[in-house]
Amino acid sequence: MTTPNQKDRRRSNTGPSLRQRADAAYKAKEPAEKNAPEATPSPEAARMIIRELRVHQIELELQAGELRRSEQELNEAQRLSRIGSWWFDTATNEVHLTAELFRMLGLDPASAPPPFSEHHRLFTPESWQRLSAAISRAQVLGVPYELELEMVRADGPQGWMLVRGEQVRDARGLVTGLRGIAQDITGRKQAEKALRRSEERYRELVNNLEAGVVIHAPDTSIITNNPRAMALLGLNEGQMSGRQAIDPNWKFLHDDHTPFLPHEFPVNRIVAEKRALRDMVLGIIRPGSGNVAWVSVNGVPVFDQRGELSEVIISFVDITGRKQADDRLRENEERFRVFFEDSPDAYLILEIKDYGKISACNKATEAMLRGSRAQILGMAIADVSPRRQPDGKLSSEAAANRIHDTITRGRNNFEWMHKRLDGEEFWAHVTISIITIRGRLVLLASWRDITDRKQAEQEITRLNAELEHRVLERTAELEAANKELEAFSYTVSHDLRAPLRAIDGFSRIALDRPDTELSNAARQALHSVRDGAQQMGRLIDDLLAFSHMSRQVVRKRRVSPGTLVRECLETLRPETTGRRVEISTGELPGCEADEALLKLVWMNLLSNALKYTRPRDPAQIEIGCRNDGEQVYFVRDNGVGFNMAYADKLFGVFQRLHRAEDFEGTGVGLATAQRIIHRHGGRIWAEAEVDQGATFFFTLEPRKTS
Amino acid sequence: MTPPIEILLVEDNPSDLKLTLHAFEVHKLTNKIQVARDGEEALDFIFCREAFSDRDITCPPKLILLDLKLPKIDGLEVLKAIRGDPRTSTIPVVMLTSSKEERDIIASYQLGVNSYIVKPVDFDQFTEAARVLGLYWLLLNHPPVVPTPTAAKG
Repeated sequence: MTTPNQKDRRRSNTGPSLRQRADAAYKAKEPAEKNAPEATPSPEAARMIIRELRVHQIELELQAGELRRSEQELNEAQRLSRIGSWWFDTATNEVHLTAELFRMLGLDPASAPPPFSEHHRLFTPESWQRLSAAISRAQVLGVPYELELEMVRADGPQGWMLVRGEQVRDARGLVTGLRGIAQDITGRKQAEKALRRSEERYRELVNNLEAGVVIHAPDTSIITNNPRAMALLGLNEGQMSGRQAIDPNWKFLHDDHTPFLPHEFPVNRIVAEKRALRDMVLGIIRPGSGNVAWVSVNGVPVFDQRGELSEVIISFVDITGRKQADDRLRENEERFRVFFEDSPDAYLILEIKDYGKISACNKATEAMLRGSRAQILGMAIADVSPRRQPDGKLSSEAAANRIHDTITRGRNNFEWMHKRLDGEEFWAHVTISIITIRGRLVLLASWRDITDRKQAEQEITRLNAELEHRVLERTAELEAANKELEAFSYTVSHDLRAPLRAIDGFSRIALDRPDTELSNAARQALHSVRDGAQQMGRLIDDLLAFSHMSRQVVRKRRVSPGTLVRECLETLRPETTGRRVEISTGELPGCEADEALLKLVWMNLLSNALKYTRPRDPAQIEIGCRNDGEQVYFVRDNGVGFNMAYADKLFGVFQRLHRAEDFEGTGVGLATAQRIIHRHGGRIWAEAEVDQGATFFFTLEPRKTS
Repeated sequence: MTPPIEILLVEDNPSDLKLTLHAFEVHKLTNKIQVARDGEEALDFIFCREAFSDRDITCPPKLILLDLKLPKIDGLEVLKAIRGDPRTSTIPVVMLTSSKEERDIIASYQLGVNSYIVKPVDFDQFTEAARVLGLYWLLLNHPPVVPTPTAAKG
């Protein structure tokens, strides 16, 4: 708010001069003076002088007022602009400061300005050092200065001032002092400091970000970046700066590991599209190692005031771990998809809530049902089954029961008659289990078309029936053959002996005649006839026993071989008369066998041992059992042994390894023993050497397969 | 009046027949042997039929030696007939046969044979068997008093 007077005053510089204004003021103030007596010499002259003096006085008063106002205005201006001024008289060392400067320095404007010698107290030592150097240079060399100085104020917080100073010279060009201004820049300094702090904070923040940040110029060259960006890109500062996105050394991969084309690079896309880019997955092939770092990229274009693109800010975070996990998950998904989708079995997901409606299925399901997924999904089990199952139950009810069972037991499998969409029915083997998909319980069903198997089963049933029939036929044939065999052996038993008896008997009767009637040769011949007949009788007996034994049923029970051996040796005692025979019997553990048959085995082996040790004195026979993971009984002798080359003939019927004149026998004993052992499921074998004795081993149990 | 028959030998094989007779002869056991060549003839003799109708059924032989395998009616059938008739059921019957078949032996004993002897092939053993047989059944054994029809009636 300004008054018109004030306006006038402001115009005073360009208005009438002080002399004119003083003159006008004298006339207005002193009208009475016109009548005042004029002094001598001439009253007119005196009046003139007085008037002149009064005008001059008024002029001085006006001048003083003007000066005061001017000074006030200067002060006001300095206060408002926070600029003070000063001058320094070199001759007197006096310092003049304006009121604003007093305020700035925290001094009382009413007090005397501090002498120059005290000025160092007004500033921090560093500032004072700069100031005093500048003052010296200004005084001596005339170099003006401008310094920002930190004040040490008596009354409070530190502040900053901007000081300008220059030489002052008098009319003769001599340096009389320095003068200048000082401006309080505390506010600016604080703002600068705050800005610097803020910038530092920002830089600190950017430099410590987990995200890599790169700022590109519109030509895509890199303006700046943070260390994380270098680390992620695998480049150093030199390699980074100025690099452009078209640089062929950039090697990036898409999410699916296919390479990026240059125009797909994030910065190029932002430059081209002028819009932000969000969450782009990108693989960085690190130069050198070739390792891939996966990042998620965000980018924004920055426009200047004219709307021109000025920068592109790209940030990216390392998602390698997540990406690898994602890839693994995806691989698993892929694997599962292949497993689910390409499985030859039909897989379906049935919704429990929707009473078993099909919510997912695979290719095999489509093939099995001969329909498309669009048709199948949403169908209920009853829709893909005949109305009734072969057992007569309604498919819908039976299916509900099956689902209920599955929910109760967690798993279920059964055979089910399904119906293809074209109406054809087929047997399926169904496996259902409860699984959880994202917290939701559903049924996973797999169907295997078992039509072929069912047919095969029918075929097997048919073949079994046929086989059974054939077995019956064969059994009948076998029975007939057995009967024939029995009739045969009966005939042998009964009819073949009679002629032998006649041969032997009549030879004997002939031999009973007095000596004179038969020559010695004839007698010898008749003896041979009798021997032959008797031998044949034994053969027939053994053969019949052998065939009889083969037809006999094996009745196993607990048997003590030790007892059997003692009984056999007792029976064979006549064989040992007149001989030295040393028999040692070891531990013979019990076994499961047909007692009578097993005794026959021991009998054959022991009588053989006694027979073939006849040339030995003493004969040594060892009977025992060793355990080779199974019980192996054995009979060892020191008899004549045999050549192992013929071992395979040992157990054949009528096979003999010794001449009848050396050792009598029919060759049926070992064959009988072998047949008995085989009928028990065991094995019999021998180890021998000519003249070194023989050992016969046998087992009674089938060999355990392990 | 001829002395009563002591042994009925039922044997179809002529060699066996000759040898058996020879064996008895060697041991001078008896000359009162009646030979029947098949089952039918044996039964005719025992039950005094046909050619033997003039025989007295109350004077049975002391021993019947019976072969198993016989023409027309076999040994087991003959045995069965003998045991089936109270007039003949107590006559000692010994099977003298070549068969060692267990079922023959069992069947014979089940039908009430007194002994079962397998004819040895060896003639010496055979004659020895005949000697023991005759000694036992003709000399040592006491047959029961055969109940006569009159005695049965009385």
